[in-house]
Amino acid sequence: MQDISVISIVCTAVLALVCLFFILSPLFKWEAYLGIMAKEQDISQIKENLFSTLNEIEFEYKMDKISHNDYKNLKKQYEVQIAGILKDEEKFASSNVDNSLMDEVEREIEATMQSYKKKKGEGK
Amino acid sequence: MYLFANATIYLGLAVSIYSLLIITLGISTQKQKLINSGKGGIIAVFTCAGLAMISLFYLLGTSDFHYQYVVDYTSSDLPILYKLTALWAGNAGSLLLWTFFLSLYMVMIMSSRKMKGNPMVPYVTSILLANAVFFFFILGFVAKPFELSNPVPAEGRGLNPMLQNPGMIIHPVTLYLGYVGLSVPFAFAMAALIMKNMDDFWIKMTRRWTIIAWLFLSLGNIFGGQWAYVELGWGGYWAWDPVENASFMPWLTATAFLHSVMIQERKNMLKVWNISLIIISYALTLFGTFLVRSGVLTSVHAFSNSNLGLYFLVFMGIAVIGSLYVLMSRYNLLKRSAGEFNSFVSKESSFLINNLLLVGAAFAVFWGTIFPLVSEAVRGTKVTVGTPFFNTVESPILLCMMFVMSVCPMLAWQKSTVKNLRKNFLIPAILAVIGMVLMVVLGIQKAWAVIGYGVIILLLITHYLEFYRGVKARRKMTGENPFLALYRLMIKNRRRYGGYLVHLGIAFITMGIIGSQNYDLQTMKTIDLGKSIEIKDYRINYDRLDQKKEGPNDVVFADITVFKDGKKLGSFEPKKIFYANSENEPSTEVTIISSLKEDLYVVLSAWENNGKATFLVKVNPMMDWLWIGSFMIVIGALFAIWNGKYQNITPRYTGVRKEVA
Repeated sequence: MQDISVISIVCTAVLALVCLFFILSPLFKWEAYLGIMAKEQDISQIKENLFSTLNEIEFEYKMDKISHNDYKNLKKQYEVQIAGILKDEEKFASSNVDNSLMDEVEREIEATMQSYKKKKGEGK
Repeated sequence: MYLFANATIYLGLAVSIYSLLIITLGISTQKQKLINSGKGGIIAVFTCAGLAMISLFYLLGTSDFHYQYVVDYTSSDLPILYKLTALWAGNAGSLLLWTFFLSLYMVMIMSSRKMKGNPMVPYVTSILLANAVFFFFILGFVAKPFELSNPVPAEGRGLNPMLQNPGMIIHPVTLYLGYVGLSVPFAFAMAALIMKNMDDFWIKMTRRWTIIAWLFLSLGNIFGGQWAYVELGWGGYWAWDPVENASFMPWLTATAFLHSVMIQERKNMLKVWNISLIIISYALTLFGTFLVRSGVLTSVHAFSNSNLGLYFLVFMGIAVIGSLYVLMSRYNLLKRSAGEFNSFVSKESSFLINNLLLVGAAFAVFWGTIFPLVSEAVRGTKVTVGTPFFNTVESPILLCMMFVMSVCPMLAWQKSTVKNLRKNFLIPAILAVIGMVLMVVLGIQKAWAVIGYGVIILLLITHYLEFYRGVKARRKMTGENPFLALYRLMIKNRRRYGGYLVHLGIAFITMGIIGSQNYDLQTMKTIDLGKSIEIKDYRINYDRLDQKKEGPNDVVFADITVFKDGKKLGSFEPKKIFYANSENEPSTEVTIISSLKEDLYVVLSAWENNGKATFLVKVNPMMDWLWIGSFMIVIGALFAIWNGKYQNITPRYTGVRKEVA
């Protein structure tokens, strides 16, 4: 066995104390509980995802990857979903989307899409 | 030093056990204090692992032969760089490096800003801590880096000459960073399952981790191939050696995982598949370690035989059974609310096909690697599966993957029509066929090479069109100039365009593989002084044979002058180095004259007292393309993760939803 020097003993003791400090110090801090739960996907996140999807669909249509009919159908599909969210947000009681409301919502979607494109660019 | 160095290992073990237990207790009792104590323990574990590394570096650097590891892997005349990098030359040191990376990753996860207040962190860290406990246990009781030598020798055994190469300095480090990196997405996946979080949150949190792990794994394989090419002196770069396969398999499954998580992010599909893939990838990293350290298979890279493999096998068994149990117990939850395919002609379908091909390729490599063990168990004789098996099985799979990679950019998410595909596909396909015809006319007539290069042409054209049409569409929408449009198109879609750069890198590598495997020329000749060897357009004049001392090593070298088409390319010196303190065969220093077209590869194989020398001369076409492709993979992966934020919004396709109880 190699001779154990004083400096080696001191260094080992310091290391052990440092380890103890790391694991013990949190135990003497104020009591806190593990109360933070995973954030549910909020409605604005879903809305952002849907706008991003619409943006991507439009871009892929412009790149000739999807047909005109599919583009129209897909666009409508996601616009209806966004309309539903916007409707919820504006706290309309009715569950059906009437045409005048749809027109209004579509205009709102277009305006949001324009600002979104400026902000994020394609596909995001 | 002895006391301190060993204390870093045993304290590390004790603190990691404590942290694992206290975090588990904290989770079950919901006490933040206990979790915080465990987190403090992780910092202590990192401190211990870091100090253990510094201690071993110090012992190696100062040639302290009181320690067995220093005796086994260094000698006092070794250059300081190789003395230090001998840390990962042996079992104990390399496992210490692994433990250090693991503890580093744990601290990075714990202290990351985006992980603040994230309830997954205690689960993730406890899974990683279980790994740390295993590794510290191995370092403390099985492969001890700070064991004393008895008696103390005056000189060490020196470093294996094959490891005295710059490639070997980086190769193990990158490979371990990749191996350990894969345990991060694995831990997140398990944490998500345990917490019953069935969404894609864990994927978003680990996007960059996965790409970084994949990048390091790629680099590990590339550096390994490069080292084999310049150091082993057989003229190749990949021999389907069990240890090479061990690092290639997780690369294949991790590549599949990188693609299939995009389907889950966008379409809420393939949840079980993704978790299975990350379990397999993680298990394969352990399996690779088992292969390298068990001695069950012979390999040029393997560490000496030890009982370490058994420990890894048991740990891998526990990890796989445990994770499969968690997966099965959450199976019904995972299947609930899963999306489904809307069209066979869509980006997600092409991703799925590519996934199946990648997993199929991984399985073929796995089968070929373990076949000697299976044959020995069943028939009593070890039947080794050679390079022809792997080349025969893997080549068509690689070509199919390249084909799917070519088609994929032309497809939209959710729904593409055959009509659109045909419209986009027709011109590239015609150009690829014209290219193939031209190749045949110009003399490239091997079927695999023609098909392979044809598919690569298709891939290059479709990727070019993807950039071109993207810029065009963006300009239509924004009116930007072409360069600005290209720049913004790429930085707004880093993952997609980074991925395309990686695809181009793979295409370049494939070009190199096809060229070097199908059109290499080789000759081995014994000639007199003053004579020459001719191969293709090259003439190699043999001018002189001599020997010299390089430090403590003896070197035998030949002076040669190389001419191409009569024009002098220069004088070169292929040599053999007889390392002092080494009982192994002399090491080969090859002469490589590289160009984009081909490499001239000259090895001094043998010599006689009368001055006669035997040279192995090879012409390896398109080798540079292999390295350029590798460089592009690195650039593409870095581009994809640069400045990436997990909060980035991903399009989410809903399609038809299914509610299954």
